[in-house]
This record gives sequence, structure tokens and C-alpha cells, in this order.
Amino acid sequence: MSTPLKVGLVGAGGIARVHMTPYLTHPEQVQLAAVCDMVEPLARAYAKDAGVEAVYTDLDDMLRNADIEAVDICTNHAAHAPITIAAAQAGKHVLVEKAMANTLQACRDMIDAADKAGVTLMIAHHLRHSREATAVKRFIDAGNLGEIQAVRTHVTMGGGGGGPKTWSRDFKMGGGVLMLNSIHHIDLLRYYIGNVKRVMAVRKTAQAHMLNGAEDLVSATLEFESGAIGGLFASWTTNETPERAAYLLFGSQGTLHSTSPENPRSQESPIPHFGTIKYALKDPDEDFDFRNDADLQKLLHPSFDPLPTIEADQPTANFFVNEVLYFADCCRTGKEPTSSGRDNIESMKVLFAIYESSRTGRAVDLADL
Amino acid sequence: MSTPLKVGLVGAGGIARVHMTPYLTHPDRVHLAAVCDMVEPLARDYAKDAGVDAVYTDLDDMLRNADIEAVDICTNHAAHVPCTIAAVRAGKHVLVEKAMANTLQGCRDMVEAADKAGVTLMIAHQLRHSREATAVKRFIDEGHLGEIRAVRTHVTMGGPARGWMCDAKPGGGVLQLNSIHHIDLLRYYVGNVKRVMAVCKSAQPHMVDGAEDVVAATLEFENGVIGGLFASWTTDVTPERAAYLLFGSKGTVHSTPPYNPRSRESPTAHFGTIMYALKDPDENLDRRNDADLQKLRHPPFDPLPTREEDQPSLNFFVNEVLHFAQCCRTGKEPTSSGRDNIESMKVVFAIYESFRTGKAVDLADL
Repeated sequence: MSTPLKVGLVGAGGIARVHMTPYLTHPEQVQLAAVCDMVEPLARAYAKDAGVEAVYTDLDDMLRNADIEAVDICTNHAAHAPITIAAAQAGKHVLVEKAMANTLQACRDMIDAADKAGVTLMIAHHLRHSREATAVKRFIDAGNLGEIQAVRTHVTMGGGGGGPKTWSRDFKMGGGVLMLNSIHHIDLLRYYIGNVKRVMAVRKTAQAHMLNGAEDLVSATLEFESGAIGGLFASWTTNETPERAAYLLFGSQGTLHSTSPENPRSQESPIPHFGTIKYALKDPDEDFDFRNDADLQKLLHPSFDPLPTIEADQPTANFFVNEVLYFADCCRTGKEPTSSGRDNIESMKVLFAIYESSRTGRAVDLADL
Repeated sequence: MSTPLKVGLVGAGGIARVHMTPYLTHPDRVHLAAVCDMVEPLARDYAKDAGVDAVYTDLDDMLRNADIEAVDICTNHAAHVPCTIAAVRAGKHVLVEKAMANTLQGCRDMVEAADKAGVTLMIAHQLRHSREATAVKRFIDEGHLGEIRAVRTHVTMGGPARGWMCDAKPGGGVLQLNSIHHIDLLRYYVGNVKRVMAVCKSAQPHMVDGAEDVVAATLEFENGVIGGLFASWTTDVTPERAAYLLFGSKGTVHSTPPYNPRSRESPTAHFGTIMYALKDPDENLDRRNDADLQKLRHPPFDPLPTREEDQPSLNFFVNEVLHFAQCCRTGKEPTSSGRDNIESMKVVFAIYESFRTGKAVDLADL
């Protein structure tokens, strides 16, 4: 990479703060050249902390006048599509936060616009850029778990954070636990074991502070193209939970699980997500008998070992840094990102299928969306 | 209770062995008077170990000739219906193992036959008779969790490798063998289920006639609670054999896998320590503040105390047989009567139906 990618940031709220790190730590690869937010004080405060001089309150103004090659979009979900399309039409590469957009048509329009303009469109699914997920993916692809037959994932937390009036609780702005949290789980399971074929689900709004029908409870069943069955659960209804987030993969040869992080957030891990990833392989003793006490103990206490992560897999322990560096590399080389718009629309379809199934009480085939 | 209830056991297989304990330890309340199994050596072995003289290989023979007031049915699921109906017609009270029956019509026929005969019909959902479940039920009913909004339960374990439990026809599969416990316990805790959506799979080659070894289901309860149910027999190596989580507006209860070896008192270890956490009374906790975030993410979970006086024994199989005997003597409807348990079974049949049709199934339509 000869010169750093010059980026303009759009939307200087919460997640934008986490995106600041790569620009500060890797100036030889990415350069934050402009900041835009409709709320001028937000834009100014962010620009000051990031050491950026060019501040805008109007997107078109920035796209016309700033010296940038790409935009990094950190707005609410409903704003992703119009901003992406405007940026692509101005010839800028686009890194846009998850969830991609709040309607399937908007997702399709974003891809069309990027294709037409010949620019890179990447959705910021930062977990794919973690050393943990990279290690899991390799472990699966090497066949260690055998055929994956079932997966289970959940997020249970007090959610819709920020403040009482935050957009993340408002369905019109793309709020709700599915777009805010579960989309990570859906995308990571797709990364691990492939596309989802069919969905059945119920979504519900339990708490009074959720707006316009934004859901704070979801239970869904996923059928993957591979034949694996998935259970997805999400709740924002309680702060007191022993199990913030988890992924479990059950294969014919073994099991892998990743439970909630035990560590506080840090500079390197501003939003901790994974605990230690652990795996256990099937006991090669085929005569295992659960009626035998010694065998039963083996069943109840299988020896789970931590799955080693490999430093060389990702440049840093901070997956937000890794994703921005990866985006810059894709922009420079023309390589399709791992979570390109085209890839990510398959994750988004799961989400829209959950809405549809909950509305109709029927299984929804993703091919029909 | 003046005299011990005289019971005849039907089906002397695996679970019958676990049922033997109450007859051995509480002879003043329950008396095993006869044993019946089509396989004579099984019946004889069992009778010998239980100290029973009367051995039968034919149910009608036992019902006509043995000196018994009740039967304890431990056969495969498909045989529950004919055995129950024959027993109640002979005027015997019936304790029958879960799952109640492998068709809904079978369940209805059992309830009707028992009603007509005026005898007690109880389904052996032993977990309801544990000190743990009794403590959870009281904790909920006293309102400590506030309004319960969501529940999650799973069983993930290596299932049976062979035998009728892997065969759909006699009522095999993870739903009737394991998940029915979870369904019944959640009903006990939060009430009836209204609607079900589900997907099943028969993943392993040793599963016969489509008996399911993977299930993912969504349950909508009558009171608005949303439930996630997951079950898998596809792996022996699992960090999470069985769990129940209840998420309320004021707190959370969870019961994760047992980490104790099974013992005489706990022949099929099921519950781990039940833990609970209540909402921090400070309404102003802010996730953006590091100290507050730690409080939110790592609330102090405390063990929920169990009470000795709640249940006579630590062994929930003993408790259920004693409860059955008491119901037979007093005429009281058991906690998991046939009439009650049919609402648990409807969830199982709704899961099958939802998977078959790809639609949500209202239990009222079954």
C-alpha cells in the first residue's frame, strides 16, 4: 500500500468513537481526513480528538469538497442506504456499520449503487476480523468438528443502551435487538457454516420504552443450507444475566463453544465479545456407556481445551482496527471484502425473514425474499 | 395414611430401577406387591432385588390376580396408553412415566378412561417433586422476578445409541425423552403454552423412522412470555447438558447443568445449583460508565436456598411416588395429573406439527 487511504467519517456518535483507534494507530495505512455530523458540536468534538481539521455538517458538502477516497458510515441504520448511495455515486469507497440497512430493498440499492460506481462496499462486521473468529473458522474448515449438525446462539442483556431516547430503541431508525445485536450472531454463524435457507421466528416488544414496535425479545429457528439446525435467542429485557452472549457449534466429532467475556473493556478490546473459545472432541472410545459411572463423569465433565488464537491471523487484538485496515486493503487492491454488501445481504435476509415469519406465523424461505 | 398403597410395577427396564427406591425406603407408605414384564427374566431379576414374590409376564393376569390398588408403568411410551387403560378399567390407580403417550388421542383416551373409572392418573414428572423446582416455583409466585418475559431452556447431550428411544414408533426421540421435562417444568413455572413454531431434524443414522435428535423451537406462553427451546442428542461432548433460564422484569433465575456425580439420592442428576440475581435498585446505572457496566454485566448471583420441609427426600423419584400414594388415598388431583400433563404433551405434538407444516401451531387447534 503506497499511500494511506483518505477517509471521511459520517456520524460521530458512539460507535464512531471505537472506529477512531485505527486512524490514530495506523496513520501509514488509513488517514482520517474529514468528519461529518449534522450536529456540529459532535462533529467538532470528534474531529478535535481525532486531530482532523476538515469538519462538515452536510454530507454532500463533504463528498464534493473534502479530499477523501472513502467514507466510514457510523449513523443510525435507517440512514445507511441514502448515505452509502450518495457516497458511491460520488466515487467513494464505503465502509458502513452493521446492520447494513433497515429494509431489504435498501440493501439491494446499496449494492447496485456500489457496483455501478465500481467502488468497494464493506459492512463493518468487526467480529469476522477477530483472532477468535478466524481461529474458529479455520478449526471448522479443517474438519475438526466433523459435520456440524446443530448451532445455538443467544444474546441476553439489558439493552437498547445509550439513553432513554436513543435511536437504537426505535424501529423506524432501525432499532431493536435484531439489528443491534443478533445480526452479529447471524453473520458469524453464516461465516462459520454457510447460508441460512429457512427461518421461523417470534419477535416481541416487552418493554414500554421500546418505540414503534422495535423488538426486545426474539426466538428463532434457523435451517441452514448445509442441513444444520440453529436456535437463536435474544433478549434485552434483563440486565441480570449469567450468559450475555454465546455461540455453540455441535459437530459429529466435537463441540465448540464461546461464552460471555469475563474481562472488562480495554483499549485493545473496547467492546469485549468473546470469552475464551473452548472445544472438546469426541472420545474415540465408541463403547462409551452413560450407565457406567466413570463414563458418565466423562460425559458430564468433558475436558474442554482453549482454542489457541494465532497472532499472525490478524494485525492486532482490536478487531475494530483490523476491519478498518482490511477495508483499506480491499479498496487499494480491488479485492471483494469478506463481508461485502453482496455477502452481507444474506445475513440481512435472515433478519428480514425473522420479521416476516413473526408477522405471518409461517416459515420463510430466504429465496422468496 | 393408614396402610401402604399396594402397587404393581409394569415394565422392569431402566427407569423402573430408579422407581425401586421409594418402595425399599418407605414401606410404611408404598408397598411393591407385584412386578410384570413380558420378558420373564427381567421381571424375575427386578422382583428379586425388590423383595417381591408375585411375578407376572401378562398384564391382564396381574390386574386380575395380584393384590394391588395401583400400577406404576415404566414401559416404552407407545405402551403407556393400552397399559393405562387396561389398569384403570380394572379399577387401579395409575402412575405412568413421562412422556404420557406418543399420540394426543392416546393422552385423551387415558384421561377419559381414568375419569370414567374414578381413579387417580398421574404422570411421573419427577422434577416437579424436587426441592429445587419447588423453591423456584415459590420464588416466582412470590413475585421476586417481577413479570417474567422470557425463558430459555436446552438439553444438549449424547443421546441413546440404540433401542426404542431412537425409534419414533414406540415414542423415541429427544422431545419425548428429554425436552418434555423442560416443557413441563416451564409450564409449572410460568403457565401454559399458547403457540409453537419449531424445526426438527434426524441427524444421526441410528435414529429410526425419523425420530428427532435436534430440535429448535419457539414457545409463546398464554401470559405473553417468549420461550426458546433447544435440544440436541448429536454430541456427547457438551459444556451445557441442561439449563433453564427465567428472565423477569426484576431479576433472573438460572439453573445450569449439574456438576455433581449421580448418587443414591440423586440417581439422575439434573439440576445444578439454582442461582438468582435481582435488578440493581439504582435506576441510573449507565452502560457507558465502566464501573456501572461491570455491575450490569457481572451482577452478583446468589444460590437460591432449597428447603428440606418442601419435599420429604432429596431423591425426587421417592417424592413423586409418595405424592402419588397420598393422592390415591385422599383423592386429591396430582400436580401432574393426566389432565394437567396433556397441556405439556400438546407442546410436543405442536412441535411435530409445526415442523411438518412450516407454520405456527396454536395449541387450541390440536
